[in-house]
Amino acid sequence: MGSELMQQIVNGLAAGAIYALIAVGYNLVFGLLELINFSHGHVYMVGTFVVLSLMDTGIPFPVAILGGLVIGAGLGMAVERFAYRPLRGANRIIPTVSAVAATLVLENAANIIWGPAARRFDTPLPKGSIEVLGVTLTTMHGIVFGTAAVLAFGLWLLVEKTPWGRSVRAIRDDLPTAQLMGIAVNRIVSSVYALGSILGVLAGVLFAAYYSTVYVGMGFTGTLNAFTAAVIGGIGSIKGSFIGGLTLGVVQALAAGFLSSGYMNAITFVILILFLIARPRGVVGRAEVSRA
Amino acid sequence: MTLAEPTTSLRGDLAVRAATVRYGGLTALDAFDLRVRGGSITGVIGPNGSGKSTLINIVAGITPVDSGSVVFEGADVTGLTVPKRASIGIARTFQAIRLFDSMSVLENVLIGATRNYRSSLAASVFRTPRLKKDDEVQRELAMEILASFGNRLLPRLSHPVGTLSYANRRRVEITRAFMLQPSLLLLDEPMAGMNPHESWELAEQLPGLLRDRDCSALIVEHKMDIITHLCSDVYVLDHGVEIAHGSPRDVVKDPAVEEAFLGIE
Repeated sequence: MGSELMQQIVNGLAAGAIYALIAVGYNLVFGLLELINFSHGHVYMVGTFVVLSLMDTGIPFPVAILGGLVIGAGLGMAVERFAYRPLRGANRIIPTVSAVAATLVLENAANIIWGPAARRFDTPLPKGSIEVLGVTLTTMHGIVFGTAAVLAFGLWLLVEKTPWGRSVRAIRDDLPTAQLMGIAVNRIVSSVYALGSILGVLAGVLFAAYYSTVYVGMGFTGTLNAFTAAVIGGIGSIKGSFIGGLTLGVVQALAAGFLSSGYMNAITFVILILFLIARPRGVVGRAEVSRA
Repeated sequence: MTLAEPTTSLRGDLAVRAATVRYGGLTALDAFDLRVRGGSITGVIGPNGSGKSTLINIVAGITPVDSGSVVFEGADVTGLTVPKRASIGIARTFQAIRLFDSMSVLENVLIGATRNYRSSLAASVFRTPRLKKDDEVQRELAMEILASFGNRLLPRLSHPVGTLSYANRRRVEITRAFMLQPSLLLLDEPMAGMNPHESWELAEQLPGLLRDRDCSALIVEHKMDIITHLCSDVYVLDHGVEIAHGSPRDVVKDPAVEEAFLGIE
């Protein structure tokens, strides 16, 4: 029983690391303009399918990933440019509706191109495993957790320590003043959507490689998990969304292991609702400073 | 040895010509003329609602003029946007301080220099040598300007500006404006909210700061003694119209000015 619990926690941490990675990208974008970005999961789903299709034509895995990242970044920028930018400054419910529209377009396009059935996703990543105290640790556990942690840390450095990140935070604090200070707001916003999508597609590839599968429905689940992880951790906080992702992964794995995997989305919704009621700022969310 | 050339440079020279701004039925500025000569500090005083902030806003490009023009360094800039005007050297501070509250003193100041270096995502990811060099130069400039305020800001570089005193927030805003390396600085009631001691401290520091940076200034204030101390040339506005113009000494003696200010000073 003890080792079974440990095993579920390890599995949950790996799955959670993927959620965490989707969530940091999601949170980066969401925190910037505080627009609910419904299409984030769909962009990551399409990007992952692109990687699969490229590999089907014999293109090597790393090059295929690159292709998926380019398409994902392009899609993220396009969604921002056409679904959000024209509505910037409008009541927030309006871009939320156009976000749903963008999501439907992406989902239906994916259904037409790749079909509704789950597809096998095989990668040349090593498949070994070792046993420690009755708990199986696979190479994939390590790859998933390591990649997600390095990327999230890299993003944190980028946002907190570089001139680009400074501009991003200035826009997040006060967009009109940022504009008056000569920050190229549209260019920065566009690059944030591109980067968020790139992190999303990388998470999608990790997800597909970890579960050896890719399917259209992972778009919606991805957005739901990312949003929940972001709410747990705190909107606008990279550290918070990483912690939120790990927490969500472990809770889901425990629910799947000890109840039934059928309850996973239900559990996610319950957690989301509980946090929205009890602590909408999240675990490490920053207080609203400048928008009061 | 050659003689110094007569200065033909128009650096920092501003001319507002017959500027009129109407808000609905209210005329905020009525055919107003103003000149700020390069290197000078020109003051504008007037009661509340006299059109002072409107004047700053038409020069900064926030408020369009209904008629008239704004000429900067010899070129008509009436049609230019706010960022365009900033890029040709017009910087400003705001009457109600506008800083990025979650960011530190140094970060707020460096934001003012955004257009002086490449800060694209790619440059930041790859930490290009040019970016590192630019960053170094801008940080040096920031420290130099921050040092003009003595020890007010230097010990607080990493403090979030949200935690600073009002006067220090104003100093951060002024430093940020200088980071643009402007040739004209628009100061919209910079002493508002400061106590007399802080106001005078700033009044002592401003001329040197402007001189060191080869920058002229248009300052809007209603503290008459401060304007008298800082400015060589003063305009008095009331209801959008110039009621007096000249040296501070002459202006204060003007009967029209006394009448407009009765009960305020």
